[in-house]
Amino acid sequence: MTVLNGLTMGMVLVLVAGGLSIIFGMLDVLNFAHGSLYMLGGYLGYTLSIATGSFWLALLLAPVGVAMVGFFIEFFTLRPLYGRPPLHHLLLTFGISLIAQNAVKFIWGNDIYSVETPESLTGIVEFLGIAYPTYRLFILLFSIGIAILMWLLITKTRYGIVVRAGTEDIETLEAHGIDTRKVFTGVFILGSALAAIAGAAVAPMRTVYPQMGIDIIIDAFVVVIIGGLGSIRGTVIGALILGQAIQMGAVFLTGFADAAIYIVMAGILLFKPSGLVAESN
Amino acid sequence: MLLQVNDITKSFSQLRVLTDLSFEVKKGELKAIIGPNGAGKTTLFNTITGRYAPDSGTILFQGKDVTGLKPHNLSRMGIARSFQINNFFSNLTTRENIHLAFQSVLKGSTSIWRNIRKEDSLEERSTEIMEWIGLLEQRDELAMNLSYGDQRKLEIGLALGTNPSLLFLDEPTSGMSRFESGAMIKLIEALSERVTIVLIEHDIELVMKVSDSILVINYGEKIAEGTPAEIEKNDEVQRVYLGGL
Amino acid sequence: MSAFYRKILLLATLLVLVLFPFGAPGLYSGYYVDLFTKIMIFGIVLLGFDILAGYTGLVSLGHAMFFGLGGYSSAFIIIHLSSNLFVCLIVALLATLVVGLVVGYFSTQTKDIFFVFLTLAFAQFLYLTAFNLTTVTGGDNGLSLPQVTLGIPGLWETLIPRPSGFYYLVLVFLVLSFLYCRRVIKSPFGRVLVGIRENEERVSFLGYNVRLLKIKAFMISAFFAAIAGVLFATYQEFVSPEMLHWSISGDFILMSVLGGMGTLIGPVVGGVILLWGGDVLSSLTENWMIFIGGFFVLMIILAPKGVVGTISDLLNTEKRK
Ligand SMILES: Nc1ncnc2c1ncn2[C@@H]1O[C@H](COP(=O)(O)OP(=O)(O)O)[C@@H](O)[C@H]1O
Ligand SMILES: [Mg+2]
Repeated sequence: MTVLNGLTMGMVLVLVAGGLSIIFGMLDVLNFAHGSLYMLGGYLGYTLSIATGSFWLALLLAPVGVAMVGFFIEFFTLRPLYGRPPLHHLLLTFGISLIAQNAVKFIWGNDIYSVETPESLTGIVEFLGIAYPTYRLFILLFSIGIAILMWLLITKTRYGIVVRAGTEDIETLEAHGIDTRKVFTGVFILGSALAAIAGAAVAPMRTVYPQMGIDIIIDAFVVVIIGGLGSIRGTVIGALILGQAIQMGAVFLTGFADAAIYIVMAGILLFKPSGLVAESN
Repeated sequence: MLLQVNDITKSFSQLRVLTDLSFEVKKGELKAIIGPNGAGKTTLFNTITGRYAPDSGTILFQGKDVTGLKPHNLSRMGIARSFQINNFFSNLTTRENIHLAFQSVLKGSTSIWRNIRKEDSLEERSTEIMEWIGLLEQRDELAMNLSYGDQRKLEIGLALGTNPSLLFLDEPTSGMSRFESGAMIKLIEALSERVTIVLIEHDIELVMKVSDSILVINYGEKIAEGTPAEIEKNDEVQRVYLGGL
Repeated sequence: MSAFYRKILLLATLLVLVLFPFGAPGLYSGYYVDLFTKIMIFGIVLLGFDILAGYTGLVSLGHAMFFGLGGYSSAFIIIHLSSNLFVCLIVALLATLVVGLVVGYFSTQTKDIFFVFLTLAFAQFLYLTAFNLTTVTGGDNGLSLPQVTLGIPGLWETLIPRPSGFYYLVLVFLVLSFLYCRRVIKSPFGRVLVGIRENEERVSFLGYNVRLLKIKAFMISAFFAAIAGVLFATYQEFVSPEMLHWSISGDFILMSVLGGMGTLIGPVVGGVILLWGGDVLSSLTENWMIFIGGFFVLMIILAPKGVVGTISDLLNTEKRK
């Protein structure tokens, strides 16, 4: 059960941290605002599911809305900053996350909203001899589905090949006459949408609240860092490890559960100062 | 013998870059290392000067085993190096660059309470070095604004600043015009009167003229070592290296 | 700006700060004396922080750890041992010596973003400990502490009059901190730190033990954060896990960047902007952080060297013309 919960948690982190990791690999940007996009996904999902009466429609539309926000962020604030030290990107997006978090408070207030679980996914299912909440199982399968889709997009389509080439070597792309600026914008939008999908999807499980962006961004950063920055393989490994750590922490370190991620990160960085899958240069 | 390198091997994951390489450097000589691109010359410097530890083999400096020591230890023992790719302080001026190098051998080089004093003659000695390498007029320019040729000189100035007894120079003339590299080689010749030098240099003719002995490597292995005259006559060298000219 | 004018400006600032409490409550409410006491306490952290982040290039997201360590050390001392400020300071510095050496030793193994997050991990660990060790730390509720005293323990001790007494005490600490930190950055040590920031590898090839120097810089900055933590806790007569929270570390970075990293005085100016500006804005709107965030974003895009860095650049180009 704990292991399964950890796996669900880990897969959600794959979605969030995956976007973060692709953005870093391609744009060299450490996007602190990624958590804000996840949060916006949650809030938009909440509002839309009430407005449209359909959770599924909300799950589809929220990422589209957040993708637009992502576009504005990339186009107006990140573009002027390419080529600057990575710390500038981190600070800039930190500023954006401050804006986003307080804008959310301004619009939706300080309340915690719970999003209703869609009718078809309430209850508990039995499988492999354990009883597991249907919605959690859905999240697990849904995240795996999205992750596979992403994987296909990256390995099988032309766009994906460009992106993958870009995470290795931007100059070569430019030499092939590809407009890297457009690719950058595209990648950022894609990452934003991924974060929003995760935010909207887990809302029925975790509720929606102003701190949710900050909570997830720390986890996602930890994932990307222990994974070794920019390595997608590392990110997946990191997410799965951290998912387990969080759940184990909740069970074995009651009251001290939040420390689990820091213990894991410190432990890994002490032995591997550049993360698990370090780029060799 | 100032430096003895015995059977060192160095690999990067699968790639073996240095294989059982041995050679010696006599006090006072100017030794040149030549070999095609990718032969492992820079890696050899990196392993001797502490950037990497060798996988196996030993390095003796003045008879002491210095294998695996860190760059700052080796620097304090009197080993200095310049880099093939500029590696100075771009946002500092020429003078500040040299100061930083020279400060390292002063008493209290990292002290908070002891000031650099008059009798340390930091200013004089730095000026002397800048004059030597010909950057006195550019002393207040930021390093990144220097011309490429001047940057190569600064690269050497930094190495000289630490008062070394053994100096490694990695392609000091790379990217220079013929005229500039001629001047650079003159400078190195003059330097070799004062300090033992190991030089990586592409231009064989220059190497033949200035060096006391030459080490030729290819694919990380020694293929010849000797005086310029011996090297010129060596068949293997002719085949793998000079033959290509 | 010539050194002469800079001196005049600094002395004028000092004069204003010395006279400031006399203006209350005639010209402005005593609330501002309180606010400026807090700003100056942050100033002490920021001076030390600039040596690490601005001059050495190691941006720590864990300095709330030492701020809080100073706070909790003095809380324990005042509650259990002695109400004397200097006893608090000594114990806080000893605690910082131990924790700082451990954290500094391990953190300096890493660089850049890894350093940022490793320091965060250590700090959050301490935060969560303070939060959960309810029996010792009072957990989320924090600890209230009796008033601190000044003097020689056992011989002569006196309470510190408020608010002005504490204001001047903090001002003295701020001035001493400034003088010390300026000493540090002008020393041979400080020059090597700049070298490390610019090109750490070459510094090691010039014969400097980079790791050791980084740890030293880390310790210096940690000590200042701890001293400020002692002052903050004894001034507030209260400590809570908030002092250790990473958002405080984030504030240190925000302030430093706004004012200008690597200018020593800049981060303190950034502290004034964020705390005073935040105070003004928060009386206007509840979500004032939107504006701080917006201002910060604009600064990063347009003037990444911060207020002081940008102004001094402008003045320098003026002069060259
Ligand atoms: N840090 C490293 N990691 C992996 N391979 C390296 C590294 N440094 C050098 N190499 C490889 O070692 C070989 C020798 O390189 P180098 O020593 O720079 O040659 P040279 O200086 O003779 O031109 C090259 O194939 C190079 O790609
Ligand atoms: Mg080379």
